[in-house]
Amino acid sequence: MRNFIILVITIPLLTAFLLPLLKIFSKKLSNFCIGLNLILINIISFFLYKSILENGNIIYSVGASAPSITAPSGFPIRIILTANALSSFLAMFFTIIASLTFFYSLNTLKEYANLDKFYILYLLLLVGILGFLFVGDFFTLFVFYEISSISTAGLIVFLRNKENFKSTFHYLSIFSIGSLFLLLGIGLLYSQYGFLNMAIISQKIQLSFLDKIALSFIGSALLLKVGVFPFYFWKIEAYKVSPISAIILSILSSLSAIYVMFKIVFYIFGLNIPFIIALTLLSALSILFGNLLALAQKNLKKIIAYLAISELGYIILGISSGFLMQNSKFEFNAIKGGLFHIINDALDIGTLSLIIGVILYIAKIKNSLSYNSVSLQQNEIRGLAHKYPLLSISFLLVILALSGLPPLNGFASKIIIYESIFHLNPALTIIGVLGSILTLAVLIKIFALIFLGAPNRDYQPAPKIAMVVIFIFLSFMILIGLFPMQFTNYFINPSVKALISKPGYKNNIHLQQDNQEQNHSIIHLTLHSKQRYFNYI
Amino acid sequence: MSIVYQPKILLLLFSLIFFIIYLFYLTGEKKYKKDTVQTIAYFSGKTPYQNIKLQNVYWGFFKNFEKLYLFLSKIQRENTNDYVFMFIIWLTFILLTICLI
Repeated sequence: MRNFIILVITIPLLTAFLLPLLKIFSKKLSNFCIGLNLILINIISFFLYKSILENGNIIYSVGASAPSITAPSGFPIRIILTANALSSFLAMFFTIIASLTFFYSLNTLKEYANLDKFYILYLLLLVGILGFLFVGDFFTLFVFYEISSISTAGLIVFLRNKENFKSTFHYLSIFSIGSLFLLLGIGLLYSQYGFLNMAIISQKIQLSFLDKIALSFIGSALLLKVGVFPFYFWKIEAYKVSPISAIILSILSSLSAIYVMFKIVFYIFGLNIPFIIALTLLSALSILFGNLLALAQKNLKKIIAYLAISELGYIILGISSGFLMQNSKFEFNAIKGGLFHIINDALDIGTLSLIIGVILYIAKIKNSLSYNSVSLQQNEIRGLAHKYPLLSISFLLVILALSGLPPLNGFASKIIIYESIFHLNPALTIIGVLGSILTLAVLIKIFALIFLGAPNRDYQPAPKIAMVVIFIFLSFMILIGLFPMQFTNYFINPSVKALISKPGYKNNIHLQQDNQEQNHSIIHLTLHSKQRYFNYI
Repeated sequence: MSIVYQPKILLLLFSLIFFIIYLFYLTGEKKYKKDTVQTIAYFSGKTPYQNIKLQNVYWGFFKNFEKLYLFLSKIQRENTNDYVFMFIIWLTFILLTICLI
């Protein structure tokens, strides 16, 4: 079971590099292999989650003689992966979403060339997302940050228009700066403590001035990855030109970055209150400005981007408010609301994106530029409710879910967030409710413009597999909305406990101490290794 | 959540409301003439403007927040230098918050 953690990452990674070979034989064979690979990692991530619930956290040390040996030998850097109830649950959920999105894209992107390259990048981005969830040391964190950034850049440029190249340039420019600051932050920690293992640094950290600078650098780089206000610019540039499936994976990438950010802030820097206050402020601004800007947009994909920013604001608001109310009875609920909203955000924004993808497909908007920038102002698409009643009902359900209206999943998580953050500051609840009202206003306008009125042109039939994927997403939303207590009890509560306690790290240290006994002294070993390393240099 | 929010009861309530609406719908006039004045909504008083488009439904809202929207459009000019500059500015804000508070 311990090996599952590495299998979840290596299987899509190896498949991504096998795809060019498979394409030589047959295009269908390569698609079949991707589907099989995604189903396989779904099964593995399910068993990984089940194993963690039964036996506790898992630590995997890559390249060691045994997976539990986390002490470096020889070269003082070791790739360490850790999994707890939260990270394994998110991995299981994200692989389900990524698999469904793959089947959706098979149906909607079939007319585009170079799809094999698209799927290579798609799998690499999935590797980056899953790797982010399981990182146990800063070196691996930086590697997965880079993998996800570069593969996202490749997905943005996929359609190969002028707009795509321009957006990719913006994206790469911003993320090269972000990566640089992440590396600087990691370097500052390494220079002080001589370790990259998060567990060891969490034990040794002194919260010196340099540590605080490192936290701000690492935190800002991760906030850039999350894409909340005011680090959201890349998101607008990327989403407006990317295919829908790439947008959904990018949303998952942002959600995994939220997990890593809180893991670092809470486990390693021992809950830095000023940083958490700054996060709460930025999340409230995200909710407000995300919705205000979405209201003024005419491009459908930009609207997805701004609504995603606002929903990320709710997640961070819930979790950071929970940390601010530490040791009070509302801490658990606020964090629960935030983590619950990660799932609901992925489902709601994901379904909205899928529906918009189908709208663009059925309206035959194939020439690249208009595919990217359908304008509501020009009234290009109208009266879809007459011909596509199921799509209209699906869109109405998404409106209910995203606006936090009962009885759908968005309400279930937002009500927990509102109730909890009210005890921190009632103004935050007001901002949250205001944000939901603005989301409703944005989506109602889109619905009225696209679905109501008389049809103004011919539309092609809706892609069947894509519609099935939308219904699966909707059924998840309805089920979670109708049975929120059961869902939170089975899936979210163990995740909250995993986030607010530090068993993974204690366990990690414990295992290293076992190792210490076996090897006489871990510190001696490490120092010896370092000495050897520096002598080598 | 357990006391106030009971989604299954709420769903039953919604179903009941929809059923009542359906009953009202059944009592409607079935012999109306299509494509005549009977199907046009009646507005009392002054005739509403016909040239106002649905896209402009939030015109008053945008007019009130014109200055805010002008500011927001200025910082989103699709210019890489602006984006990098904003990143550095907010990184500095976070750095100062962490180091000085």
